[in-house]
Amino acid sequence: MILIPNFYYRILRDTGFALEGITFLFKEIFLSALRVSWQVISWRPVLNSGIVRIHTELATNLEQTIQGNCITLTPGTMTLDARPDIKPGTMFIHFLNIKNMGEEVYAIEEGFERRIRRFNREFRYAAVGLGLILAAVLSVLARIPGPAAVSGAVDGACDFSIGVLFAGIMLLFIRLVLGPTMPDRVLAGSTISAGVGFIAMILALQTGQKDLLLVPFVLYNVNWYVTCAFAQYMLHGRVFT
Amino acid sequence: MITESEYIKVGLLISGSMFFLLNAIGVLRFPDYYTRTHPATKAPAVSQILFALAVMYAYPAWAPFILIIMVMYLLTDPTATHELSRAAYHSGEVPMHLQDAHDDLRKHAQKEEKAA
Repeated sequence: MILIPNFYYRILRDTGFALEGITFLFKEIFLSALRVSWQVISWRPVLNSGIVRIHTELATNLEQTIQGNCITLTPGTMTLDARPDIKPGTMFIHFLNIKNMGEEVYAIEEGFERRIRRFNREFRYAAVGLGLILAAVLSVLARIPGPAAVSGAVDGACDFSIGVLFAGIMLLFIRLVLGPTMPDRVLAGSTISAGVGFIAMILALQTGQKDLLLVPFVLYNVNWYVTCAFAQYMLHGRVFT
Repeated sequence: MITESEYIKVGLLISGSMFFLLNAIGVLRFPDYYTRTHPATKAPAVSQILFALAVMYAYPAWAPFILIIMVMYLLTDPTATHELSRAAYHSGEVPMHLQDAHDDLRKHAQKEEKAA
């Protein structure tokens, strides 16, 4: 009899932890995009970039993968390499601006490491809670009918944002042609495919055709395989190692 | 007559596309490959989230598909960029734009070459 309330309590608590971690990740993504955008707009961007060695306490492969992903998505940092052969948990991270490295390292270690460790330890309970919440929310949302046709203002905004995305894709094409090295071209190409996926999503919103959502789905998959194949080719001289 | 929900949708769409344009300008402007990966990874992730919210707000019944697309983007894009940057660094053909940049990985990369 004592076990049952404990079970529910753990589900509630760990779901709360997971939701808090997801909110934190989204907040960090927004902050990072704002900071990078500020560097892009500013007349003289401050780019004291450098590669720094970092040690994580996270032990398993899954935890380190999640952390590498989170680091790539947060302000001014990108995971360049993970080298467990030097010491378990060693990562090399590329910083956009090495001057404010201290606070970013602090955010990585304090923010992510604690949350990921907690999430991994409690992840069965959190999965139960998150699955229940998702099922409830989605089943409620599925009953709401969408509009038959989008209104004039949203239609105009769709046209405008498709135009802006197209301008961005054109700029990326310049980088694709210019790109001094091969990874530059691959990066521009993968970002172009992301932009095409966004255009398909906006067209789906504008015309109300659900099938258009398959375009980003397929594009992101193919994009991932192609980028990884290019990386393997650059490292080893062949794709399948 | 513009309603409140239309304001939200229009704001999400326009800010998402603006983030993508900024990322494209950054990819053009920044000096070397490693700095270019920063705008090329982060800004599209944000515009993906904003577009997903806009579509989900207009058509709530599509939420499962949109969620799958969003999570897939947030999983595939950083891993692909990491893989590509790692290959770029270890191939030795992609220099950093500062000659005297702080680089902890260089000595380990050289050691690996000597061992191989």
